Amino acid sequence: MIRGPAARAPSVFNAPQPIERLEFVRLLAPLAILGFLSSRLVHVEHWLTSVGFVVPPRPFADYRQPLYIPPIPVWLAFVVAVATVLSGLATSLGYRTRWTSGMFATLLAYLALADRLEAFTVSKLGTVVAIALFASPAGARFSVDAWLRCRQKPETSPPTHVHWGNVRFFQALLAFMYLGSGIAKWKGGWPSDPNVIWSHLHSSYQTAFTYFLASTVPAAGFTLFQHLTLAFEIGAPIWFGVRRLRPVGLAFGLAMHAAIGLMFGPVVWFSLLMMVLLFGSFAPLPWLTRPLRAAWTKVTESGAANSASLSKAARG
Amino acid sequence: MARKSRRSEPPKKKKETAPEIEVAPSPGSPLLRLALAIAGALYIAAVFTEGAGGSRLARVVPRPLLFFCQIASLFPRAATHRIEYRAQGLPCAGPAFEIDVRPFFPIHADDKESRFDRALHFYRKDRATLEALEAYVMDAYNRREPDKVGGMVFLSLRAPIPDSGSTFPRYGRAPLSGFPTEQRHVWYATSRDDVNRRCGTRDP
Repeated sequence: MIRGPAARAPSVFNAPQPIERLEFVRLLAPLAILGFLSSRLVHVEHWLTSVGFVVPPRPFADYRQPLYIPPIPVWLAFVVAVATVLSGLATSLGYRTRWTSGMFATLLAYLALADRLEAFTVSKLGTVVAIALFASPAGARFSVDAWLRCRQKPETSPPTHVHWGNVRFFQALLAFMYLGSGIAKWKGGWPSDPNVIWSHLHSSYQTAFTYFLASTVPAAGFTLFQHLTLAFEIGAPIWFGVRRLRPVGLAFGLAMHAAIGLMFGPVVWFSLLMMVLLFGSFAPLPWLTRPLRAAWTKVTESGAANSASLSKAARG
Repeated sequence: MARKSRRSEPPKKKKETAPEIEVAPSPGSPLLRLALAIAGALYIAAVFTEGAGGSRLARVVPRPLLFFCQIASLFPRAATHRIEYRAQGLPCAGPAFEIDVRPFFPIHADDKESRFDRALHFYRKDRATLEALEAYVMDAYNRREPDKVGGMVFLSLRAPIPDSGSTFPRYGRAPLSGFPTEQRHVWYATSRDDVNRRCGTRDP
């Protein structure tokens, strides 16, 4: 590990970043991804095998079938489903994180490419998040791995930071993903058509909350939300790049995704994944360190108490 | 004396109060880390380009990789209609009737993330896929129901969006018969010849 006083780590782009940001993403992003997959994994035979409908191979790769992967046997589909859940949970817990996050990323990539009909933004973004976790020191702290290391070598102090790229990747990805999305919306008529959000409230994604809002909020309210969303997305590099504006960007981003999650039924998992990435990347550091350290202290103390009582019981 | 000697000591440097940091090592060699940093930057640039500029990288980026870059263009336009997809069975004799395909597509059966809706959304103009869909639905239906069908019709329903601010009923799946003809668009229909042939060759 590289040691040095924090004072030597100025807040420049390539300075080491607090490890809490990375570990927060590692803890919660796999759960959001598994939540999205859960409704598909319970019917895995209709997804990955010829029990369900399978799109035939196309002569040329296109956006609908970037890679043809033939259906697999039912038993193998169940193995894939179980392995995905276990590797995702293990990544979240930080158990053998290097291996499990690699396995999780590989399985997510397969699931995203195996069948375009079940591939959504979470499938693609989730795969990239899992690859980023695999390529980072995620699990070095607040994890089962860290706990085991601490038990074996109690004298070692846990890492406090990670190299800049491990956190900056998520931050830059969010800022430019929003910017790209904002430009697409600008070109798609969001500034001129006042009813874009209103027009999306009527499909099978509609929830009771959507219907309540659509029935009570005046039309101008949706237009205002639409313009605020556009301003947030197009201005994302500024909202998140300028330190003073970051809380505003974070608050609006979280509120926007909460609203999307509540209003568009199955999109809730996408919203949760984005909220995890947003909070992990841009929340004020004490908001991450306090709960993580408190939970860690609780877990390790109860773990120590349990092992002490177990060894006492074993001794007789 | 002691006090004096202490006075003569050079003033201690102000103690560094900043906490020590320990940077967790990233896996891989420095060269690999550099390659990962470049790959990460290129990925972010591709996500931005695909979102902002439409699909422009298809010529230079392999499709399976590009697929993971296409994440930044959600709800870019207003919906013009509420679109649903439905199926009708063509019996050996008599008129077409609606088939509820939800039992054959149990994943998100009740919303537009259903595989049936997604198949028609992506492939409604692709004959080979629609034939495969026809075979799948027909087979699943005929295995369950005593009254067999010899062909299928796949169609979309394009219900108008209510005027903004107006009152409207909560979304619910309505039967096909509740939609006027002008809101229906047929994308695929088995020819009568094929239906007759299948009905003639089927075991009684």
